[in-house]
Amino acid sequence: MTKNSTWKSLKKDFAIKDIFDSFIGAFILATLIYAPIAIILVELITVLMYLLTLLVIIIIISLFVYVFCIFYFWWKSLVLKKQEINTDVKKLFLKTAIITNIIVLILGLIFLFVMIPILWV
Amino acid sequence: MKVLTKYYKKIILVLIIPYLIFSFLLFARIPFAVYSPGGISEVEDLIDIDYNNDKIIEGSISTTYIMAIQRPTYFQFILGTLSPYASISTLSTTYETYTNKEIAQISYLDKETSVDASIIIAYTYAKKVNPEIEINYVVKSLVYGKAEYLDHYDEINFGDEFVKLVGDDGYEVTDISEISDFTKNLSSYDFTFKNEDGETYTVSLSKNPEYNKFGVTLKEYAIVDDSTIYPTYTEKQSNIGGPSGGLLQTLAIYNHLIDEDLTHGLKIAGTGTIRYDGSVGYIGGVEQKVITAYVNKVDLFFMPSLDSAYTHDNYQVALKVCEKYGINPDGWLIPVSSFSDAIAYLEGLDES
Repeated sequence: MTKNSTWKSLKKDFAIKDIFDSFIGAFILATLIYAPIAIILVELITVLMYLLTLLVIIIIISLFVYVFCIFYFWWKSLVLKKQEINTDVKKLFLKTAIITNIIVLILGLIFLFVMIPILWV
Repeated sequence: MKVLTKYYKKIILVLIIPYLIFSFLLFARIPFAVYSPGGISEVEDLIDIDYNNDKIIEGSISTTYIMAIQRPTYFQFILGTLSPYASISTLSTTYETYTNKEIAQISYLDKETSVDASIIIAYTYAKKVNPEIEINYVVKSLVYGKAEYLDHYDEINFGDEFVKLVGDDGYEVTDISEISDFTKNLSSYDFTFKNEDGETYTVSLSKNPEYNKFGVTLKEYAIVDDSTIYPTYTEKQSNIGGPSGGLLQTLAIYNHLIDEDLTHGLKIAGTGTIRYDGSVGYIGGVEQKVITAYVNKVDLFFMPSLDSAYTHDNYQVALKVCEKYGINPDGWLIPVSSFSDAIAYLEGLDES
């Protein structure tokens, strides 16, 4: 039997409160892991300013990982809460993470090629 | 939330110690300064002059900035030590008592006043060839330094204008050179300042018994009179501080005001403060600035050269930096002692 991979089916499997609670947990855990990495990258920029473009690209890539981490922990939290799920959460979250990362990529490129030249006067 | 914490409990516990170590390295600050290469910034992006708008400037004139991190974190300090292009020094004694925010305020004050100086000099030079240009300025005494013992420390801000003080025998002092002569009898005097919003305020400042000083450093600056200037200009908000862009700002403004294009299609950069008489002043961070210019592939780089016999002369230091990194300085690194030198060099390019 193929499982559904939609938010609608996920809402049938879990109460909104559980989904939200899992998300908050995943967000906090992923942020705790990512925060030092983000600060390291920002401090790297302050010293290695001449590598700005490269470092901003690394920050964008690190944000991809951060987004995937949030979705991974979110999935893990839901799976730990309930064993029998009719939704293909992995597939659903993977799709959402990819869409989120495309948005991150677009915003990152706008920042790199439009905002930095405007702001850095 | 609880499920995740429970599931990853062991990992979280194991990671607490490295996490604390990282937090310490990333947040604890030490009294040093790290200087590293930065970038170049086109003057046209900073100062917009409403004149000669049809003129095509084929090249570009840029200032060079470096990253100066006062009181770096341990991590920044380690990076600075490992980076081949960065240099580390102890925190300047001038800055020891200031917070990083105050150091930034001083730096922006330097930048703003250097733009005024650039405008005054560039317009004055351009007026010689174009009489329709108009420039006037007023001399103002601005707060440039504050000692720890200064009364009303938080009320008086960097850049506030000194208006007057009521001195001995009720004499009204408006000239800062007279302050010491008319503040001998009492221990405290009423100072009037004007803040950046144009509001005046009066504070009573006492002399510190140990130093016999009020604790406020005032410096005279020539500020452009916006009401009479022609053509008008707009200065955009800059996040790069310091006065070292003075020479290049002056060059770019001058180039905008005259008919010819001094850039000759070249990517011109450089460094050096500008004084009101048109002479150029020394700057810090020569090594990082030379590297920045080289990395950014500029065609010409102006460097202050005031005394070739002086070991720390910027140009002499820059030559050594070029040698160290295998950069050919011939025709690239240009020594200048004044704004006129820079113009003469660029005009000379025309002939050659």
